[in-house]
Amino acid sequence: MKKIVLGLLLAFLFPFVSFASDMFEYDLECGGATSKEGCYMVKVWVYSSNKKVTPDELKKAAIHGALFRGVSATGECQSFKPIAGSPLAEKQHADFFNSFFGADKQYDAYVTLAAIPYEYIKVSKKYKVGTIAIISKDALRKDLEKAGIIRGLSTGF
Amino acid sequence: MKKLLLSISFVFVTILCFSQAKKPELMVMPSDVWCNDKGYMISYDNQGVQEEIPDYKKAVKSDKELTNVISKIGALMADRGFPLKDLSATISGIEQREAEERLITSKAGSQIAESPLDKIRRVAKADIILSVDWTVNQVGPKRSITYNLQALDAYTNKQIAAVQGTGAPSMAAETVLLLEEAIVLNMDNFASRLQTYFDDLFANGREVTVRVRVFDNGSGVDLESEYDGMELTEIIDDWMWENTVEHRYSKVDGTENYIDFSQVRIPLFRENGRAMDTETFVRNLSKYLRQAPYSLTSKVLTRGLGEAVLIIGEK
Repeated sequence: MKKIVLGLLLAFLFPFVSFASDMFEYDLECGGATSKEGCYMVKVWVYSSNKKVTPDELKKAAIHGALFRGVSATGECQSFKPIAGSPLAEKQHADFFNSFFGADKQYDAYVTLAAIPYEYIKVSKKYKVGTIAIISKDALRKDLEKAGIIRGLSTGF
Repeated sequence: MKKLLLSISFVFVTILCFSQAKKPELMVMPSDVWCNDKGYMISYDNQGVQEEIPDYKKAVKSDKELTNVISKIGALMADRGFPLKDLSATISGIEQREAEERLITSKAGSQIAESPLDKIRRVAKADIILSVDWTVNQVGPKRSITYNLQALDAYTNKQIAAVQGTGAPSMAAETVLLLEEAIVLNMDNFASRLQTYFDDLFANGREVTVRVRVFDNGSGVDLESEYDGMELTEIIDDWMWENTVEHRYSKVDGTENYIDFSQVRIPLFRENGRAMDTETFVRNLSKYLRQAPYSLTSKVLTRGLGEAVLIIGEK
């Protein structure tokens, strides 16, 4: 009986666990201006219990933020709207984004980390590990349009 | 079996071909304020009143900053799969066509027919105007650009997207570079707002303007003429109710001689799947009024995708 209850509980929790395990806590803010057309710079912060954060985690957080959160305007920076439209898009196209952020790291093609040492900030019991990421937003948007995840300006005409 | 599959594929491809809505034309034009500041205006006598209108031809022929701005916005929009109509090329095209048409004659010596209305209409126009202006601010040795880009629906005069802002001050950068930076920085947000407008258009139909007029031909027919106890105004109003998307339209004004409808939401597609524009929509009204008991002849005039006039009385 215990096994059945445990099995049911696992079956119920599995989708949430597998979905949430890929989502780590992060912040995204403007990283300054870049002269490279079709790109923008963001400062990405990933929260960790220790100082060990991999470049892949930083890249994943940067692209996830660019897709679903956008960046607020600060100082000399313009605001950037989320490329995928809204956080709902992640659930609407869960199959696509699970694969996009999955083991074959499709997101990696659209982001480069700046070759600078990471910054560390202690926040209560956690660390914030941050760096600058350059996101190829135009290429990312075009590929999402091609995949039918977002609408292009000329879609339907 | 093969024939059946081929027929199904053909029908499917045909539906796909037809299910494209009519694409609005977009054109970048300098704003009236910018033209006035730079002195690109023409004065003309409007029945005794001196009026000024922007001289776009002079502006595009003599202002390099403007041509740079137009081509940069055009390049960024083309990159998003939405090429723009070019103001300079449109003006040159109109002049070229006018010159050619003046010289065309038939074998019997007849020239191409042209009414005064045709002449007035031969101007650079688009369905959506991207009105741009900028100011160079100078504080000591530092300069910055205040940039403003608005998308205006040419038929409803509504602002459908806009971005504005002042860029970072710079001591070294030239005005052209500052302008380019302002355009690139603002384009994503601008395109995103334009996208919201297009999404609304696909969800709720195209918003257009419909005008109804009456020819003063002595026939005695006006919009208060009665058919089966109903005035013509009410009959047209009922037709609009039946044929607009979710019955959305506003009657702005009307007398016995005219009715103006605005915010008229017309479907993007006809029943046969082909694209619908305001001309087709108003022609359907014209066909309805041609039937008994009304038996009214009417003329349809159009202005682009989003405005049409129905003139009742004769062709």
